[in-house]
Amino acid sequence: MRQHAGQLTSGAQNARILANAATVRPSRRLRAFGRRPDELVCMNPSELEHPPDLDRRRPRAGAGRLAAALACAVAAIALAPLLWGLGVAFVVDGHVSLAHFREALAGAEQFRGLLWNTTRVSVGTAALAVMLGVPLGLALFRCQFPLRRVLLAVAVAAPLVPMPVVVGAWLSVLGIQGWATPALKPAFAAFGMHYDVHGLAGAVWVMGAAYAPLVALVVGSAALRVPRCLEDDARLDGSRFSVLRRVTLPHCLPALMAAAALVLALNTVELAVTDVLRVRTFSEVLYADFQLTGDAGRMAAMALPATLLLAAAFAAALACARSWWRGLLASSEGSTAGGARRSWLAFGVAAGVLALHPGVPVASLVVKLGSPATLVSAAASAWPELRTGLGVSVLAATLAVAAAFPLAASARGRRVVAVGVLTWLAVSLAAPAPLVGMGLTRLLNRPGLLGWIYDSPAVLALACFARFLPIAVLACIPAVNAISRDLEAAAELDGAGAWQRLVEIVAPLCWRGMATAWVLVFALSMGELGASVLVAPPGKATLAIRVFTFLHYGVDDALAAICLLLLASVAAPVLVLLCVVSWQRPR
Amino acid sequence: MRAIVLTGAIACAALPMGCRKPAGERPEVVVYTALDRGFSEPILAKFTERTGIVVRAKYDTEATKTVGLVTAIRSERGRPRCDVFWNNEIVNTLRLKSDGLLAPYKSPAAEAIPAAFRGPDGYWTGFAARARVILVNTHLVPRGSEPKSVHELSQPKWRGKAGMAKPLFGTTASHVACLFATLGAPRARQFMLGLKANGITIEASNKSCALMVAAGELAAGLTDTDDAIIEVEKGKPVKIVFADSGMPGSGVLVIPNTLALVKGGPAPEAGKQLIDYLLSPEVEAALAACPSRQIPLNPAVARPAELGVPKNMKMMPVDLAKAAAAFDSAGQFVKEHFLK
Repeated sequence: MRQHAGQLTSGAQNARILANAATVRPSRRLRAFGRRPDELVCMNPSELEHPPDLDRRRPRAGAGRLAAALACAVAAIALAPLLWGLGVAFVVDGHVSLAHFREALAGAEQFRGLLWNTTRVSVGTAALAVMLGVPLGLALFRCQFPLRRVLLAVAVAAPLVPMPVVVGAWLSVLGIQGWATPALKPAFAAFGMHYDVHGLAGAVWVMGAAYAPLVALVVGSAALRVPRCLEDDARLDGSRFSVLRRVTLPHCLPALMAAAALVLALNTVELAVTDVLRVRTFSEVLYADFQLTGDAGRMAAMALPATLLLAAAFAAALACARSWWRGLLASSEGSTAGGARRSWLAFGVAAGVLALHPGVPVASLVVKLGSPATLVSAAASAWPELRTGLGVSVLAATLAVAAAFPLAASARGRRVVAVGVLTWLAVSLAAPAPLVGMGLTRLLNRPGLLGWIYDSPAVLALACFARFLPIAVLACIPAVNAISRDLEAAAELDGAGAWQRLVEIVAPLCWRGMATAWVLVFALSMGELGASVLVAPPGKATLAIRVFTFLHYGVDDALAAICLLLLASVAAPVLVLLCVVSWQRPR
Repeated sequence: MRAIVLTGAIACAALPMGCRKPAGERPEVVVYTALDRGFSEPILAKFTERTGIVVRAKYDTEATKTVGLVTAIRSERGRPRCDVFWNNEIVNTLRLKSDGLLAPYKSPAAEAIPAAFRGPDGYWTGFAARARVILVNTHLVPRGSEPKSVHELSQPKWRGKAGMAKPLFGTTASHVACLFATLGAPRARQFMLGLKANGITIEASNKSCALMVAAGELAAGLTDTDDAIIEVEKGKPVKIVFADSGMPGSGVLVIPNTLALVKGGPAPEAGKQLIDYLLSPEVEAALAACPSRQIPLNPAVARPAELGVPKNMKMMPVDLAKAAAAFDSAGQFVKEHFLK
């Protein structure tokens, strides 16, 4: 234990000190000492023994169980639309039946065609994302070069750019009216190929480039944890590249598999890109066919097998990479540079990949914008949607973090709960978003309070909450797991209940994880489309829906302005969080 | 405890963002509109300015043109929240009528609309129409070689050079349903399969079909006059052909916008006021003057000269009720045999 002013404190004394700290309300403690909970071990024990203005409260019995029950109820609310959306596949006219599956099987050829298309797009996207993301991750996390922190910040923000904005931006580059099209068409023709951004190749390019930074973050964070001694030993026998090949990359393989699985899952449920670029995948057909027929049962029957398969693959990949997954955010201290020497090659790789996304698309939108006056007029015309989107995203993010934190805490040390959370996460990520929209419509469009919620923007917040709560849980788990059990044990010795330990010990120390979860859910909610487009009440569309609606008419200056507005509203909280975390980091 | 209170406070603070004002403060009317937002929004805003009735509009997405809104109205049948359905075509309005989801309303403003464009029982009224046309690229199609009929697009001359929007949504789906009703199912299927065998390109929408023709990617495209005229007025090398205009037994399919009152909507009186306004000559003139150049049906409103509508243009004789009845089977055929 630490020393203070030459005094050595015994273990029991320290435990009592920590327990005293745990029973004190944070504000009083801060007023009295101006310290964080973990710093109280450094205080003079006598001061802590009898603090003058502190009162000892009786721990609330049952509050911890109540919190766990509330968290489970909230999780059930989040799961309900998706479960309904999937469960309706087994119901025909109020009776349990497999008729929808038989009907779906009757269109087996169509199903096979969709499966083949979806597989090609997903695998192609994952392959491109890995090809670009692995070198980017290694460059950002293991090398030193000028502007590394700036590029790292860009890489963190890039995966959160909403997909409608991404595809709109690339259309302004590569579409019929794109600025690169006149040069690309003859180049393709010279090789005997027909140039058209619409189709499989275009969709793979747009999504692969967009997900590369995500792969980079996952692989890079795993590369940070490769044992240095192994690399140093290997360095004695070979070059840096052989160390990379023999030590670093093999250690990053589980994280790479998890990243590839995540890209596969996100890609399979993606709607905006595949719809605009005319690639028939499960998600796009589910949305279009549901709009055409309103037959939720048949759509769910078509989606269920693919959802379960993908969920299983994703869960398996996450399980393999659990050591990386748990270590995320656990240690943010320490240098991320791999050495003192500057690597211009690493700079070139990082700048090059990030130029692909988000560099070129965003620059193209800015050029398409023309003048700042367009941005001002677009902001004025899009203000109602922007306001709705911001309100919905704030609400969804706040509710998600409030529910995710106790869920993450209850999963700690409980294998059954952890497996349950992992399964829920896998199914939620693998299920097409229109299923959630379908489920919400059927569950809420009824007289009374449910109907009031359905008619208000709250239904949009519920859709985002249902879709992204698992991601908030995933972001909170590593932060919660990183908290030492000793602190809680000491507080428990003095009679602090589960709720007090959670709120007054664990929560203040997990603020980074919770802030990350909030920003993630906020950014994803701003770009959510698949469920929102089905449930948006009249007059309450979001900016993402507006962008998606106008994308089919081509990208003009007004649409470019709206895309930039959406991008700015997503990027702002991400950059604020990065600045705060960076400022808080011990130097 | 403070965390819960703080969380709840933030959540409640976010709720009023865009929430509905209590009933009674400002009258509202809910309209589901399939006409492109850029054209319908200013007109609805003018209605609010004039009457003080707030319009809550649900717009269409191009991906599921018209049909998405129809499905929404159907799924809300137990608790309708739409007052007025402003469709950009007619067939799906008739499908809603046959489902019993519309309420009759004979607007005084509809008296000026020709009888052929209004339902005899008042369930729907047409206004501001568009025609199905072929847009040709004048650099790729020599003068005099333009297709005279949509049936020519299945001939070898146009192999791989023609395009159309996905015939599951919007006016293209309606056009296919009308062909099924007019030609009969076997001939219509033969025509569609002929187009497919001739390598017709399927675009996402009428708009993107027009853009592809204007860019020279396609020589000819089946589209609507509102999307075609925009490319003409941009100065692109394109020409509008009113195909089948002089063909015996055939004609140009003219598709009106249609207005219908939804049965059981929350504000039927405000809905009637909105319908009265939309059927006024002022609105038809505005839609004729806007970039989409909709064709006014009220004889008192001048047709936009820019469209170049032939003086003696022959309209396709179509039994609209039969077309509405054929919509589902036509769609099934398209999905199973045409789009595969």
